[in-house]
Amino acid sequence: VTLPERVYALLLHAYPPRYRKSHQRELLSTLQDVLGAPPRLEAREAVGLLVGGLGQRLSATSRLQDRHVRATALLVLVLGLTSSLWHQAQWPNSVPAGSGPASFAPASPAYSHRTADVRTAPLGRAVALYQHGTGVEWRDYPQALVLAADRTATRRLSLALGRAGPGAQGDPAPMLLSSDGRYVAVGAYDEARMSS
Amino acid sequence: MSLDDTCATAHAAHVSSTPGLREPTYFVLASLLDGPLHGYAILRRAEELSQGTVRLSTGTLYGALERLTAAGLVDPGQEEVVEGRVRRAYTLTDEGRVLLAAESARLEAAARVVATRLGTKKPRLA
Repeated sequence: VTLPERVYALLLHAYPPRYRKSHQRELLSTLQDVLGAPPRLEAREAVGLLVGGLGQRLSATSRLQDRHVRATALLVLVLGLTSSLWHQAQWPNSVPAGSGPASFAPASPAYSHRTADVRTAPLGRAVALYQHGTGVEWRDYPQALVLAADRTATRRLSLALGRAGPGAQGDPAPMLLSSDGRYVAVGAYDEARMSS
Repeated sequence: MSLDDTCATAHAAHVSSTPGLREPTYFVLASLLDGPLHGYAILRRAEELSQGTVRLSTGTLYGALERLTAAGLVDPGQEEVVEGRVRRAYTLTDEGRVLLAAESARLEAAARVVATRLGTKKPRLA
């Protein structure tokens, strides 16, 4: 998933869920045609999506006529979007490591743009390597994550993410954590086989 | 004023607050005159027909299509997959055609008023 794709996918959240369900795939097809391959980041298209989505929300919730009410509603929506994006980037509380029975974090960290790569930000030993989310559509972000042994930090495994092939619908490449938690092995998809 | 004209005026008021149709709306509707088109084809056709003045973003186009659908001027078809792309073909409804005819007549009359005063023999639409 490239950066422009991520930006457009985020902006699609401006549309109400109901509209996304009925029109998103069609809208994305048109957008892909407009942008070409690989998709470029265009301010015009980005603003169009944001305005279009908010407009859709306004007309979906109620037919607001009053200009001041509209302006206020727009402000609330923008603030709401900003906070939800911020919220998405927050870490859930990690479980303190300790003695006692084996346990696992009750909530494994979800996708975040702010997660650092394990290559540039070493983690020490890891207790788990997992894929968060599945990639089916453009706006889905599967992320390969490594969880530290003390469960206080998570890093993304960009190596596996970089090998996410179109045939695998954006899923990271197959990956394995060594039993001592020090190494990972990352495979690669055979595109020729997957497409048949 | 015929019944059709009344109908068209009512729709024009619904689609836009100004007396006429806004230019992008006008050319989006005009792009469907020769037959149903999907989103990307509408964008290209509207740009071509307007000689490059109407360049809509994808978000703007779908906003317009939603309003036109609600006003009964275009008919969205079923989703279908064509060459790996999810498409929906939009058709101009009879009401849309009537509205477009009324609007083009209005623009022509408006152009004529100016053109005759300028002494131009052949009024040309911008």
